[in-house]
Amino acid sequence: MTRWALSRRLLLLSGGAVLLAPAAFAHRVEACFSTVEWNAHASTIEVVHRLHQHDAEVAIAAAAGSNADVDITKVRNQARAALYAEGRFSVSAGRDALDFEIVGAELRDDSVWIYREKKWPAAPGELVIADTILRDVFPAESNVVNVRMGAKVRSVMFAGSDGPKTVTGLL
Amino acid sequence: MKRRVGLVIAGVFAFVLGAGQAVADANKQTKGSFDDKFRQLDVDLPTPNPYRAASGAPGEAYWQQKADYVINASLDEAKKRITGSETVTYHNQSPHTLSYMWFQLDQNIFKPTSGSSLTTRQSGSTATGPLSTTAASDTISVGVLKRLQSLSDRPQGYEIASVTDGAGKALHYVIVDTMMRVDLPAPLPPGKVQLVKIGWAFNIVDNNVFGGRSGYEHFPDSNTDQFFQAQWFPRMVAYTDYTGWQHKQFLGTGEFTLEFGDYDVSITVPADHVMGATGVLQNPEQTLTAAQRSRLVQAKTSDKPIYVVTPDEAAAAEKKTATSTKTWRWKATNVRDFAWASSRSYIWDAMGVKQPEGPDVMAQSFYPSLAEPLWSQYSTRAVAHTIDTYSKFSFPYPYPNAISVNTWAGGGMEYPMISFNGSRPVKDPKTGVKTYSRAAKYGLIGVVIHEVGHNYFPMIVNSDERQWTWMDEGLNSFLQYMAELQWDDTFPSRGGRANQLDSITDYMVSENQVPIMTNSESIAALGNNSYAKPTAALTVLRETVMGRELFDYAFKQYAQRWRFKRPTPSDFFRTMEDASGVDLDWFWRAWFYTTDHVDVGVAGLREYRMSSRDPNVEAPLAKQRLEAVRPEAPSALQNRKEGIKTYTERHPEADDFYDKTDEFTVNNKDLNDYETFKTGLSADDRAVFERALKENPYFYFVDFENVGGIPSPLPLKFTYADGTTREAMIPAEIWRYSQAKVTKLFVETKKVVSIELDAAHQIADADRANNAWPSRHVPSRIELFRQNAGARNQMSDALQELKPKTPPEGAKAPLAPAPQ
Repeated sequence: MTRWALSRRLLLLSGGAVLLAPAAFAHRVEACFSTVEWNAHASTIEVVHRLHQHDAEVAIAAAAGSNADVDITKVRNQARAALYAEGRFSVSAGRDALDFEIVGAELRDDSVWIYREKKWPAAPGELVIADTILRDVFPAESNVVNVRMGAKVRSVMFAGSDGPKTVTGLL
Repeated sequence: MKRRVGLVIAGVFAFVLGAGQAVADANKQTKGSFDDKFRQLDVDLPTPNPYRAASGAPGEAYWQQKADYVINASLDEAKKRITGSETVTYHNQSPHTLSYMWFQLDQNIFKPTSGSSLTTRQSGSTATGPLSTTAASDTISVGVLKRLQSLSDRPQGYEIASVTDGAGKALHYVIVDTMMRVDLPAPLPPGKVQLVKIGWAFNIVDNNVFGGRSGYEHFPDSNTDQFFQAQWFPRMVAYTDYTGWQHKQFLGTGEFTLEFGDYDVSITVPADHVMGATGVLQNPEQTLTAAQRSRLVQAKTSDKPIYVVTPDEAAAAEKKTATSTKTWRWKATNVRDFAWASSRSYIWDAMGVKQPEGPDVMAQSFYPSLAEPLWSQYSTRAVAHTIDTYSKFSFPYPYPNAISVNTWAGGGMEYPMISFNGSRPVKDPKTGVKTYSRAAKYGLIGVVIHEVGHNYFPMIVNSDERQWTWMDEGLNSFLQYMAELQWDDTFPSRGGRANQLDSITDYMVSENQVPIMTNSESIAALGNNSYAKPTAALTVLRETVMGRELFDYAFKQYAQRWRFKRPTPSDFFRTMEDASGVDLDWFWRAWFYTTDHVDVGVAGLREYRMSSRDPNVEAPLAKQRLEAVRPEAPSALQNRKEGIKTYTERHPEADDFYDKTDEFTVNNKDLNDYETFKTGLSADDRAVFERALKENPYFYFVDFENVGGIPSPLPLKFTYADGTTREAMIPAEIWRYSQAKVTKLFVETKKVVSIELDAAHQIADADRANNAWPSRHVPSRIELFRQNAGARNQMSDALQELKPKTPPEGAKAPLAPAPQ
């Protein structure tokens, strides 16, 4: 990698929330969990993101440039969280980058759940996934994506400087 | 052999689904494919011995070491540096003679040459375990640069000035990364005491730059700092019966393995600081104002928090900086560590907690104004609630103080009597108004419960954290969950019900796993592995497998047997079985030693009734059943409707025996067989047979499948044709001879129209699509969400408004290829 690329990416990162406090170790670990699943009943690929509510609030504050109103119990802020996640999670099948529609978001347990879907003719056997959710906010963020297109669940992790990853053998 | 009645039964219908198989290598045969998920754990657990009994209790010769500390330290606020000296009085209560002693030098983890620093990987410090196989890309964050620059400006790690014996004679020592071996001038026999004196200093890390569990935090608004100090003095390595010296290096995740002892600690800080610490303050007259002492007396009997330092007083203190110092002297008895926090910015509140048994406790919180208005409302109350609920599951809180300090924005860290906790309100940069969200509120209550709860596990039930994270984080997260539900029965949920058993399944089906029984420094997905999965496991154990009465008794036994002692996993496993009378080897094996998950299902069901074997009764019934499932061919039916006569109808003379009878016609052989059957029955068997005929129950042969691998109890809900329901619980032992598929007979007095498995979501079942007969479509999460149309409409409006507008076609910027 050239030095040019290094400095370019550094500029990109410096706009993020690198000034936020690093995670404390003894309690909750920063992690976002996502699933990409084939719904044979509806012939859709469904994407669900699960962010801890407080993390989602920090993400909204970082993305919106203001931390005045981040209360995730408000539907408007859940929509913000959904848009935030949409911009940081992509799935491609073959040459097609899948443009998922945001179905909505809700609060369950201690998390905000974000729902997206895409009509698709058949379950793909291979997907390329990129997941930078919250990684621009928390340096130690570590995300896991479970992919289930058939009977088997495949998992892929995103942390540190991980880029897009190909998940094969899904069917 | 006595002949038994063979219940002759006739099938009505059958419904069979495919069955899955799940295997775990550890228990597989080398021939054949049987996977013995009920194999006893004895072959894997350490052999019981005089130190640790087979019952899970401390053995008759149980021992542990004791380390008493006298520490004098001073904080240089300007240089952000601590200088100290300590005298360790080490009591060798082991049966062994020791030639050397090991100390923990945790501050050394921040050195660029530490094992932790050298082995930090580019792909991210938390990307561990089975999924971390891809190469990293070449990027660097500002945070990493900041840390590197800070290290070149201010060296980190311990500066050891001296190591001597009690008489001041220098002792030889060797530093091995975060550990230090001190060679004794003469071997230390059992029952004897060794004094070691150490002088040290270190530069305090900026917690915002280095992370970790302690350091200092700068408050730019007031230009003040807070200092929260932990792992701040050379601490004795634990010497144990099961691993000798526990000096596995500190790499950042595996926390601390420590000895109990008595502490006498004097800390000198700027005179205008307020300090909270492990232990009891010995010199309040020199350190606190008369008003503060008076308020503390009031707080003792108050049922709500009272300010010891008010927000106004803290704000006033921030405006000046003292040039003189004060020394705070603390004593703590029978604690495994000592931590403290000090700042001139602290607001301080306190309230008394009366325990039904055990000493009165002063619940307290220290926090900067940044933490308001959230902290004064909830922190100290959450401390008090923790003591109340945890004690019911274990033992009375034994210490006089329990403190929560606001040290950072999120997360927490625990020490005896004192904990460092996050969650702060946010401030509008324009208006300056501070508000906190529900998430921040419940986040604070949750983290305070968790960190104060750690007083029980591992500060008192002193498990080996460097080896097993789950023994403190898992047990504590389980009790945190119990305490949260007792704070608010929908806690921590704000939008729906909180059920840990539903939320753990995504992790448990993932490939990103190692077993719970994995060393602390090698765990993948730490939060799920060591916190959430043990919480789910213990919840299933309490609510489904054992029941509350047996679980609570056994859990309390464990806590009480091992309070102020050091248990290992086998002590927990064995105690839970020994005190409850329930063989749980299969449960520990499945949940703690494998990465299997729970997915059981109803694979098929066949319904039967009694057959009388009387051909005159059974033959017409058999014909009816056949006709029900195999109706007349459409062509034959249509022919008759059209009045078409068949050949034999037109030529009856062509009829013979076969045209007058069918397979259901009763013949002499059938009647003879029936007579033979009846006369062959003994009087007893005949009575059984006739009674069954009279009662005429329904027989259901139900096939269950285990797809996920974990043997699970089967909570069943039968719904009958008359609309009534019945619940039944089949214990997990149903899987002991057959790990993937098993058939169970249910005899019912009423016709069953449906069976649902795990209707109450109590076994952490990961796939509910196979949980019912007749099978039903289980909606996906998105389909479920759609049912809540109201929220969705509001969401659509918000999305419409918030989504970036797509520019019109003509407004796109023209692009040209970049020059080469």
